[in-house]
Amino acid sequence: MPEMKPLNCEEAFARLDDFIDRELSPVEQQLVQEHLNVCAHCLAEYKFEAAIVDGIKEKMRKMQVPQELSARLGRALDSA
Amino acid sequence: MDQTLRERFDRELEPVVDLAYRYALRLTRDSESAMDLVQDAVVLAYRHFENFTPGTNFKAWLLRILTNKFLKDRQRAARAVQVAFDEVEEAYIARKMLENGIEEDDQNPASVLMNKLGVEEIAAAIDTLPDEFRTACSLYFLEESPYQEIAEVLEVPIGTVRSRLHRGRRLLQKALWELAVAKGITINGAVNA
Ligand SMILES: [Zn+2]
Repeated sequence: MPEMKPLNCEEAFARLDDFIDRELSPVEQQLVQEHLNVCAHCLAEYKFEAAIVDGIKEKMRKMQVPQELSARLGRALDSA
Repeated sequence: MDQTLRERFDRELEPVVDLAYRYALRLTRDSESAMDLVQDAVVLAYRHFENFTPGTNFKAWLLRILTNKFLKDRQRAARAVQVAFDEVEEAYIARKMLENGIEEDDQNPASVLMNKLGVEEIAAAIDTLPDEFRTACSLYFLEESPYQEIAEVLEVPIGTVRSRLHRGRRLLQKALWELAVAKGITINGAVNA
């Protein structure tokens, strides 16, 4: 049975990247969530960092893919 | 009905080809080279397609081939010079905004900043990252791949992925902030400096 000792600000902050990426164990994920529920300061930090990550993801996925790519791959595979 | 090898390959390739290109674009930083790299990787994958186990992760397999091809070409070109970079403290943008008196408005200042930065600026910021951070960060931001899958693509332990992503994100925040300053972007009424 893992111990559910509440996290302090420093401990929560150290786990913020992993929390955003959902890479913590379920227990740790919950501990961070519980800290964010009661700490306005860390909640603001979380929203700030998450907005940057989300902004980068959104733009990265908008990079145009050249139309000619698939025809080009088709030709390369035909002669492979 | 029996599918030909090529039909099976095309079916695996189709859903991941855009991702492969966008990833290659961030590795090579250039559209023409990115298409060449994708083509080389796709042809290599096709030639070894018999080694691919159906039902396993084709995306990770193809991206691994692509990454290895890229790194091999870089070594051959003797351009794999280790770029020196300074450690960047965490929450770089948040600190800078605090220093510049940028306050939480009715909108999250980080969202405001990200909305003012375009696709090109995000690309430029990613492109400043050294290879090992650029590969991990590109895979993460393009796909939300779990660390385990990124580890499979890059053939490094999961702890290495974690530290590259965390450090890469700090470097990226610094690059984004510097771009915003260079562009004179203002946030919630305050000017960056
Ligand atoms: Zn806190």
